[in-house]
Amino acid sequence: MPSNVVEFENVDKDFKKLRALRDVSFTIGEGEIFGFVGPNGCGKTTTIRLALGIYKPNRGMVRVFGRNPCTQAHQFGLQVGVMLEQPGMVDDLTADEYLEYFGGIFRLSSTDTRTISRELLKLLGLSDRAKSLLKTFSKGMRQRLSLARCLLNRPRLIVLDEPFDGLDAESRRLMLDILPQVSKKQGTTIFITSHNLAEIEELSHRVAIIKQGHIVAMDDMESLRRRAGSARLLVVNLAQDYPRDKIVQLAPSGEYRTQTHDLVLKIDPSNGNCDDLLKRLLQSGISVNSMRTEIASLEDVYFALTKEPENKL
Amino acid sequence: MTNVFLAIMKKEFLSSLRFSKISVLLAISFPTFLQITLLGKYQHLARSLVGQDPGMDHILQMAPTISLFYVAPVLIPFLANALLIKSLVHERASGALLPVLTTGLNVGVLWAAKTLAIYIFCYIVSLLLLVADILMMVYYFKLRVVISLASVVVTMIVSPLTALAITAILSFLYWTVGFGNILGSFLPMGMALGLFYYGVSNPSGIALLDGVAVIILAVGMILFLCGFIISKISRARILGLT
Repeated sequence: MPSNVVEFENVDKDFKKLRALRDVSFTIGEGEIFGFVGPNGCGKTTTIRLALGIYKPNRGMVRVFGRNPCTQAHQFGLQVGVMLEQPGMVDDLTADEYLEYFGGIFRLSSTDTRTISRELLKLLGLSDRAKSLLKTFSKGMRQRLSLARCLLNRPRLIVLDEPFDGLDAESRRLMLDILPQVSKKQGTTIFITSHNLAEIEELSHRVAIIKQGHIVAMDDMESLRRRAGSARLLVVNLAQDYPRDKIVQLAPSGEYRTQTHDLVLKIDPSNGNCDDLLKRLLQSGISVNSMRTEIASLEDVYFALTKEPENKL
Repeated sequence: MTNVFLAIMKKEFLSSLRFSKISVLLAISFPTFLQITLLGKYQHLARSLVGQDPGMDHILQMAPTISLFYVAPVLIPFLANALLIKSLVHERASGALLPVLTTGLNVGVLWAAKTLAIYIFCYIVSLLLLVADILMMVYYFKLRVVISLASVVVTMIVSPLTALAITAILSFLYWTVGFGNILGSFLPMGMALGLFYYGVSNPSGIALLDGVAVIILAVGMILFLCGFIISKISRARILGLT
């Protein structure tokens, strides 16, 4: 049994003249939760589709459970659970019938399908809608049912493409709670893509940052923070909104967030000490509400490593 | 694999039943209404001609049977076309097909199960139409329905098998080429009219009885070829992602 569940080696993928991925290499180990982040259109979904064998790479090698997903998916497909960005459903079925349909495809017995479906619908708060037609389901309910389908066959690998899109806070929390539990209890490997960095940061053991089809960084969060040189941040909350130019002049290495009136700086010896900064601000007539230190979020790391702070994800 | 096949067929059946309630109602009521209208006129004509010419008597006796038996199977391609668009084209567009294709399931098996389920559903509807029309002729028009071996073979085997081939070809084209409205409107119509003409032009059924084996073989070959080609097509192409 290979210890790497997913392997990408120097993978390129082109669509006519567009190069969607270039030289993408990574591995995902057994039981690992691997986050794949990047802006819209950077190649996340293409990577997922390559892993699922829907696309064939133009160059390089993709392996899932040591096999080629394009030609040998039948050998491992039943061990994979998939939840995709677009929760495509068969609208004329009920939730029960939908899971029964997939139970059949996963070759589960009727009894097993019924038992597991009941458990999953209960866990995901859909028990009372088990007999409702899917056309009456909201986007959040469809996403939760997608997750139920994804967990139905107790997969060894779960592939999630933008699973948090369009979810309300309650459904999002539910997913953030369930996924690590599944990974821990069943040793399931999770490959998750998203442009919502907070969720990836909370879930993932390791994160890869992809930009324009190329992986710019890949490591655990702590190492990424160190690599970005932004392990800790100093956040100075100003009393009101001040002209950006003035703030940038006083703290050239800082990032000024106008919405929250926060001036954010990496804590770095080259920045000088906090006393100096505070003195400069006060002398320039800028009132300060508070100062605090924070651990850099994945968002901070992302912008530091991609060096385009003006491009919000 | 049998369980997988049955699971897909069951889903298609349920889905077709819920999706096509109105289509089924129309499919049964519209031809029946046409029969009532045409036979209402025919009845007067028939009564005026009876006894004048023995040859004409035979034709008049056969006419209800012909109009009855060869209309029902024609329904199959029309109804199947609507259900195929829903099952293949809409499911592909909505993304419902994608999770199924990530399970490693053989695409040919998926296609065959879907097509067969839709075909059987339409075949059952065509039989309901047949029963409705027989009851109407016998009890409403008081006409004699001549059921011969030939008419049974044509209605229950030959025409439905041809309709199966038509359904398979349509299904194949929707999956591989992804034709839209033009194909959806004209191809089944042409094929169904061909099927009707084929049935009406061979009322004695003798030639058809001889040809049953050939037709079964031809339909089998069409199904095999479609399934084989589909199983070789990439999943990206079937999902329209190329």
